[in-house]
Amino acid sequence: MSGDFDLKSTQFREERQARWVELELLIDRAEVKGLHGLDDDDLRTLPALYRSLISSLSVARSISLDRGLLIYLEALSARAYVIVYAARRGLWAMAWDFIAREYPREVRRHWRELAVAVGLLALGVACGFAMTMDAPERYYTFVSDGMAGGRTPTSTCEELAAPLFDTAPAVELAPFASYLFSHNAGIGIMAFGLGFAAGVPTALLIFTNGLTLGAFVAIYQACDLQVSLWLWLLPHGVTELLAVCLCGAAGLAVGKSLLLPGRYRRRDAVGLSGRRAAKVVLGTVGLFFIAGLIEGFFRQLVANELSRLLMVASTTLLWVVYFGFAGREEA
Amino acid sequence: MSADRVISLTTPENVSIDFELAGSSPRLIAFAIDVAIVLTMALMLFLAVQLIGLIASVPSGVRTAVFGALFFLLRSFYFAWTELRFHGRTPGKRATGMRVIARDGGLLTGGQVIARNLTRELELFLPITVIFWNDALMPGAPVWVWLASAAWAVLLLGFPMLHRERARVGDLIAGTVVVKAPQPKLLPDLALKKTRAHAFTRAQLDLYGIRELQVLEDILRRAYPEEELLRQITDRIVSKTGWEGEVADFRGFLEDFYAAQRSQLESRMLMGDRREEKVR
Repeated sequence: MSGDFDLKSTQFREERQARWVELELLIDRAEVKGLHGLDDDDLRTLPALYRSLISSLSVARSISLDRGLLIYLEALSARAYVIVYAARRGLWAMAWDFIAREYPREVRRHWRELAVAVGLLALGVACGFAMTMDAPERYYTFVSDGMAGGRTPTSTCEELAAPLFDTAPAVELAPFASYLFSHNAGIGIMAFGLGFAAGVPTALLIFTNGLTLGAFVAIYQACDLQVSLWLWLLPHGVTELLAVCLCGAAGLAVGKSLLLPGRYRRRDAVGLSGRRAAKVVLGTVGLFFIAGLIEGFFRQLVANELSRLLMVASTTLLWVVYFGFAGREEA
Repeated sequence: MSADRVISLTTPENVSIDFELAGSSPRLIAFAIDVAIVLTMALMLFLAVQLIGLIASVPSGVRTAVFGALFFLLRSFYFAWTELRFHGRTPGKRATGMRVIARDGGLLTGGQVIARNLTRELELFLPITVIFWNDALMPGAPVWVWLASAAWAVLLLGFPMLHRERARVGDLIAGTVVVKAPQPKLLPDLALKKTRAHAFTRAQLDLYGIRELQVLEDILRRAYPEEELLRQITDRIVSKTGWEGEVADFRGFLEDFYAAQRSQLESRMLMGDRREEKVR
């Protein structure tokens, strides 16, 4: 091209624009279909086209005053940047990496908060137990009608014992297990989300869950049924209570960073801890799922106390080994 | 674009890219679109589960249970999954031209996406439950408890309106921000023309700056600029620069002036003299 008013910026654009359009077409496809939508040739040229675009953008900024061009290059760079630096691994590889390494590792990093959450739960259980023993009518404060399922301090020992050994046909259990999973996972996510209110509601939530449990244990005290009760509660309870405490720990971690941001600005501290805590919550939804299965099926189908004890022991062992050792070697 | 509505991100190639923050209403619209999609998917899921269940003669309780669990997963992870899969854009955000990016300019990670979306459940559904169905949440609670929790709920719901960046609590926790993601087309170069009917002297081109040039560019790029407007601008330029001659074709005159003016300002810029505005 030649002419009286041949601009440098116009020449520059003439030379480069074919590559921009080529990249734009690649990005259009990648945004819809993901990187899988691109073939090997495309994947080879993508980084080169991207680097050429980024250099075009900085050249254009220094030599061109064409606003239409600058806006185009800037928006295209932003789109390309997101695609080029996106995670390359597939969803399944990411999921496996998360379960095998990231999640247990992140849980270990939260051991202090986890200890506090477990402490709060234990405190709640102890308070609920002691206060209900002291005055049985407090039971009604701690345990809602729905949860009590007709079991109250005035129930006879037979009435209290019956549900512990009830079994039900498997067909009726699936809705129950599903309800338990959504309900409990919901509470866990809530415990995490409440962390941004400085962690206070999270702590309260864990504590009141403990109160309910304590009050429940208390009414079984008189009948000498505690062992049976614990064997009824713990096969799924080990997993479920651990999951509640983990979500609580995640909430407490966010709350802590809000109150004590340390070296960071407050918003950065919350962001940093929130991202890590969210990983804990995500993995813990899986724990709730397992707990829901155990509670919904195993507990209702198996009344044998030795089997229940074995379940308690094996889930405990599983979680200790998993959270204690998984993903440690590379860390 | 005022400065506090823009955030900058620096690529590893050390080039900064500016993003304009998205407003509250497009975000609400995007959310409504996504909710509609979730509900449609839930309906289809329900029909599919029922149909397959009926064919395989699975009892109705199990069908409900399977649907219940699937719906929970769909509701909880639709946003997170689509944001991860489509590079920070749920279908609703894509329709409204927005995307989620990391506040620190880094890449959006899975942890961030999940954090900001798990929090939404709390930010939105919990306050609504607290305000309207408080009895179910805290049976027998005295009125002042309801008032206190309703006040908290309203604060939580209104938080994005109060925040400078219109950020949700979830955005703060995840360290993310929702920005506009326009997809402008490459427009033709207005200075690309072989013959020019109008000539200007250096002195005539020394009067205007970059801002005036780009206002002129905007007007010339309009699909149907009014002839009257073009005439007025031509008159202004002619009287200001003292250009001599008769203008017959206003658009042609303005295009030539634009090209000459841009050439002048760009060569000044190359010499390190960036003139933002007109001199007088």
